[in-house]
Amino acid sequence: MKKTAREMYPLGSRFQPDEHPLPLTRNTSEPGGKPAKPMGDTLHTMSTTSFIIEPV
Amino acid sequence: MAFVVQHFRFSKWIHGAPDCAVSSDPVLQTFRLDENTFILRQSKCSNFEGPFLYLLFGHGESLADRYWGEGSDRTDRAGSRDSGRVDPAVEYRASSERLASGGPFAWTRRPSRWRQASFRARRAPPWSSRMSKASKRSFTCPIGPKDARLRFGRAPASQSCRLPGHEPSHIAIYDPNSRILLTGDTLYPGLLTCETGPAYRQSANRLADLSATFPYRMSSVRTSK
Repeated sequence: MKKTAREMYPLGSRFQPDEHPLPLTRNTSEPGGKPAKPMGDTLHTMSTTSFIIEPV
Repeated sequence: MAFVVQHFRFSKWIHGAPDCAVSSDPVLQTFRLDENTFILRQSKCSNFEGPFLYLLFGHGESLADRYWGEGSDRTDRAGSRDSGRVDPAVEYRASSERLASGGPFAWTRRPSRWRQASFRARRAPPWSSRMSKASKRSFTCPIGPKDARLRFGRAPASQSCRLPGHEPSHIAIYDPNSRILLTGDTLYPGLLTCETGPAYRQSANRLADLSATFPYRMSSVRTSK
């Protein structure tokens, strides 16, 4: 993922110079309270500043 | 693989190259957190996901928590000599453990490609035969208030708990020595893939509870720039 919110490098990209910082903060470490909560009961693709959630 | 940390900054990670054939970056970048804790990352030239391996040395046993990708056993760079080679600092630390004599790790989540790195030639036995009873118990740690402890000669002991959802056997590990919370593929900045939605949601809540339980203030977490 890029530092820019909601943007990803194409899958397979071998050059990712603007990678999102990897260490997590309290605000980004609660997927139950942050990214996953607004999804409701149906799992679907959703993007936030630091995450993109996708069913497989 | 992602992590929650306190009290240190990571050095700058390598980020692949526009032309991997001429890149001088190592295939395995090594970050030494302390004498017994190493973080290895696979070059994106070798695997675009930039997988991590966390190597925690104890006394007589070690733990490797890994997200190890394809490509670690081959070079995608013409003429490369160091594909899969581990940093000398890790080799040196490993030389004093059973790792060097053929008894590599006390526990690992799944059959590892670690042997495809430089330890490959050391005739490591099947991983399952090296799992301690405590480690086996930790592998079946239920989602609940009781977290398993991983005893591999490291004090205080690391803790683990299952986090199914991304995939059924997924876990998180907290190492109180380094104050690292390894969240695995359940949580990292990027594309989070969910195999089972309800389990993922339950694990996400569980992970939030875990992060609030550990004895450190996450508000003081430093992030790399």
